[in-house]
Amino acid sequence: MRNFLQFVIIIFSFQSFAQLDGYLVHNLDLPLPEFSVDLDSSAVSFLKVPFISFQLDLYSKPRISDFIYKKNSILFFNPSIYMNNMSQLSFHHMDMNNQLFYYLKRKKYINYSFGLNHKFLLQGGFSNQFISLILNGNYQYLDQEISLSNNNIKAYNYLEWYFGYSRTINKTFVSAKLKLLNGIASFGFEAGRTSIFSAENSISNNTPFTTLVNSDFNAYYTEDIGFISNLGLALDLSLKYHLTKNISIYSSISDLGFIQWNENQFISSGNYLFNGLDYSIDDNILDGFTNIYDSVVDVFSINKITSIKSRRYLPYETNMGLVYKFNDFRKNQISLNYHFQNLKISQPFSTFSIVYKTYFKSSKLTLAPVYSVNKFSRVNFSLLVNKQWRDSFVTNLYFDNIINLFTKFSDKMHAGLGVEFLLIL
Amino acid sequence: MSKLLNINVSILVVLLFFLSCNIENIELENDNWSPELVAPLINSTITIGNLIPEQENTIYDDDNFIRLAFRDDSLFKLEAQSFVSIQDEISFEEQFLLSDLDISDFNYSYNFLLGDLFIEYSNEPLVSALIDVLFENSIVPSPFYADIQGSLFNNIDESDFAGVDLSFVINEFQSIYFENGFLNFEIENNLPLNIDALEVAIINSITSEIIATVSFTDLFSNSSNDVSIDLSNKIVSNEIELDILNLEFSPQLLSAGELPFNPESGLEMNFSITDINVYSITMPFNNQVFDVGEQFVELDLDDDASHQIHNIELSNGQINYSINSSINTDLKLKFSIPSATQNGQIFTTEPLQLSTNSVGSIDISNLELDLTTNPNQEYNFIPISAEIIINSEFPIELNPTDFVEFSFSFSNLEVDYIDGYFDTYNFDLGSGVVNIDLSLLEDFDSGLKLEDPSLTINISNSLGIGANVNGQLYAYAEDGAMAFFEIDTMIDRANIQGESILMQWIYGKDVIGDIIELPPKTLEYQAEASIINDGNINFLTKESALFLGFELDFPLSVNAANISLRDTIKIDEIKYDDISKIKRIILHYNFINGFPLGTEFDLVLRDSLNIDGENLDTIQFIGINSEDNIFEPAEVNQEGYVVSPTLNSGFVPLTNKEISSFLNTNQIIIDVTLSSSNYIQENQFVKIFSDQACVLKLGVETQIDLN
Repeated sequence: MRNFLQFVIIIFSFQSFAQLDGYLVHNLDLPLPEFSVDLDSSAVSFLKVPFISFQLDLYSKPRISDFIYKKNSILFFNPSIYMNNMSQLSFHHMDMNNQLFYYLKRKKYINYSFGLNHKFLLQGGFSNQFISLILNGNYQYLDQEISLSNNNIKAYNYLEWYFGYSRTINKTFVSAKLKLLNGIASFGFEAGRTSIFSAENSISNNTPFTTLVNSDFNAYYTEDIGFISNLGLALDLSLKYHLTKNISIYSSISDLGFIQWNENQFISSGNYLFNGLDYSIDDNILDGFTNIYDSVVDVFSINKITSIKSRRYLPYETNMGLVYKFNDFRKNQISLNYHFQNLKISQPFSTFSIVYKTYFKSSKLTLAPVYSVNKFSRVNFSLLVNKQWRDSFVTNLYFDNIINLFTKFSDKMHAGLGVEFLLIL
Repeated sequence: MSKLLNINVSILVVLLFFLSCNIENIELENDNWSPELVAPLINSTITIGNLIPEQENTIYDDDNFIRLAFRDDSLFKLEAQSFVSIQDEISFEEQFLLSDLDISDFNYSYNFLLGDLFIEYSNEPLVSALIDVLFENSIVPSPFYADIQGSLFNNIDESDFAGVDLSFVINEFQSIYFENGFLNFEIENNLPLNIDALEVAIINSITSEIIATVSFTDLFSNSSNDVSIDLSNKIVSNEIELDILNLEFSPQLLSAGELPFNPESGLEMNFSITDINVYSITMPFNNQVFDVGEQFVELDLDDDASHQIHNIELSNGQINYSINSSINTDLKLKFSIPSATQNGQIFTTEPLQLSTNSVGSIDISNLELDLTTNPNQEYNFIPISAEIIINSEFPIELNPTDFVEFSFSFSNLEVDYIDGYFDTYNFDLGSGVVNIDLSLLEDFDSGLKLEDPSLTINISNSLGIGANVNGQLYAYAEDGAMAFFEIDTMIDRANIQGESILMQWIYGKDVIGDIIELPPKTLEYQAEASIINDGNINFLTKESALFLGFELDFPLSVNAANISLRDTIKIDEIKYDDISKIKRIILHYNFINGFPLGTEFDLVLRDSLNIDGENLDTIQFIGINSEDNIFEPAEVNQEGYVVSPTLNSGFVPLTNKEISSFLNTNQIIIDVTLSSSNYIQENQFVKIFSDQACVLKLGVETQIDLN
């Protein structure tokens, strides 16, 4: 049991990727091999077993296992490795989705869904300059501006109450999901235009070194967790068109929305040029440096603003792709997917995936291996295991980028895990 | 539920990292965490003023030019009171006896009119018979205009007046006991007929004693006659009675007819008492003024000199008086100094109300006093005068023993101005010793050349007196070496009040070279003066004085100077022992030299608690653009003024020992050595100003091991 727990935690810590087939069936979220949700006309209802379905996605550049490692029961954090293994920017992303409740009712070609999700989103990134400044000092950056603008972190913790609607019109399957968001907690840090500039002034009438610090950061957190304190709206849309009986194309966008947070904010804005303590012999040198300290504190004083309404947009994502279904008893299919995710704290990134899905009817088992490429890794292998137990119980288990857990093909990491338990009513 | 979800996420994420791996601790591991840091450190401005602070004998001019100087503007000082000193108390006393008083003459008139006689004595048989005969209806005309037969008076003589009251009262006094005095008795015949003889006895009504008997003959109509009676040693009361002892009219012929009479017809008698000196007098005094007369009081001078003072102006002062009188009545005193003015008016006091024994004071501020009015000696005498005023509603008796005595004294005199002919004499101006601090000169090496040292004698004389001054100045070095300087000169006098005569003598290196060489540590001085009598009026004022001062002046315009200057910075000890964590410290500096001399700049690190006083270390700044550790001086022009500073840059890598010393020091001594020997042209002098500054701009480059 202990080994199993360790295994699960390791999986969790490395990421899962639940959007396996590359297109958002957001009022189903289920590959049910014997049932085509967009083509079949029979009535069916699904109910997810409450509180035990979840998805976890984790991206990290550099790899977490590189700079956080265990030796002799001690967990070490090695900032040098962290810095050396990053290029210009580091990036860390965790997206956790707890599906607390889900119910779908299909009648004719129309699907209605209701549900409640709990989502936790954590994104952060630091610049190589910033880490290097801490580790190696500012000497290396003489006469260079050290911009800290790329050092950001944010986290949203919220509930999704949603209602989904989809239907088939001719060869087109359209769907939408309207989501009422209820924020629970958030925090973040935005470095803004914060920068440090140190100049060398040898053989001049100036101080040999001068340092200019510009402060422009903003930090925030939410402590008001009332039910209506942090409301928001979001929308998911998707469109799938069957070109032929075997080929279809699709496109979707999800999490297009915002949450109006009731935040406490900390803002610092100022600049200070330090070119040495102006000192005359009659002065007290300690008082002089104390005055400088007081000036710095005053210039960079943090202005706290409480209970301010702040609208923050969710990092939306889009998918588009092509699906080819084979005319065989296994209902095999191949999908090509392009995934675009708009990260709020770093450059957006894209993932190209190819999925082959095969169905073993005798055991009512579906396997779907996935190969994907993105800037985090060019070797990403994932696997979906779908199993229908008897007639009315389905389990989905996703292992995303399993190889990445055990190899170091890339200096970046991308992994995920997901589980679902559904009842067919 | 929200809280549950928060907890859910937190626990999930944290436990992922800890529980799954049997993690006992989390630590930072970084094998080579040694950041290299650079930072600006300090911009330290060091002025010559910091190194040569302005203090007792180091002074800055208005343009901050530094000179080493000893200056005493009043080494010798003569003030007005040194020449003429007036005693603060000038007293005089005066007693005034009654016998000294001048009593005014008394005058009284008595009319014996015929008309009144008819009316007042109409009941007398003789008068009644005459009325019946003379007047129609026996009525006396009023006013009395009547023509009466002249022959009727042939039968009238002194017996007819036996019952007539001829008494009267003189109200001006009650009783006088004369020591001397005269009664002048004048009688005027206003009748239209002549009197051949008239004898009248003047009787003191109270005692019935005859004061005098006076006789007149041939007292013609409308004519008068008088007689003077010596009253010496007689007592006269104011109630007088006349007794007609003899009266003879000139015989009138019957044919002469009637004579015209009018209301004034009768005898008018005028009494006047003159030249009165009394043993006693009883009388009412109605603001009777007794003049004491003018007295002269001699001015006393403190010293033995024979000054002849003509005029004195007082800024403050008062006259204290004490008056004693035997007369118990309303008594006033009026005091004056006839030759003095106060605010433009002759100085006279308001009447001072006195009792039998009175004291008080009179303000004589701003009094201008002329002491030349005594004809016997036209200087040094103050004229004074006084009046005694007696005023009594009821008669009082004054006896010869009665007196008024008073004493006056001048006090709290503050003289604003005094003039006259001052005596010629010699006096000592005094002597003394002063210590001077020219130790800065000792900081220069022996090659110091000052451009323009000087010794200046300054004299300021606002006295109206000239003098000869002879003084000596002895300068001693710390080792006892001595140099000497003498002054013997005549000092001019001020010619008018407010004028100040300024005299100055400046001596250069040729005269005071010996004194400069010492340099002096102690100065001893002594002098005496003698007043010059030039035949003119001398004067002194309160503010006037003679000052003799001198000034040793060593302006820091130097050539071939080498001087070591220091100043101390006290800092808090950093108390950092683990210097192994400090891989390196390099001080980068830009040194902007505004000193006009080549500058060697060192920081001496000290621990004030080190009993031995040893330095911990010395950090020398050696420029990358200088051949040695002497920074180039600022550029100066021909006059020695700094034209532009020079820039010297470099860096100082600190050794481990120096770093350790730096971290443990609590005193940093800035050690600046200024040198002109290598950089200034021969004969080039540079001027040292307190605001000349060098700026040390420090930055630090360091690497710290944070592992």
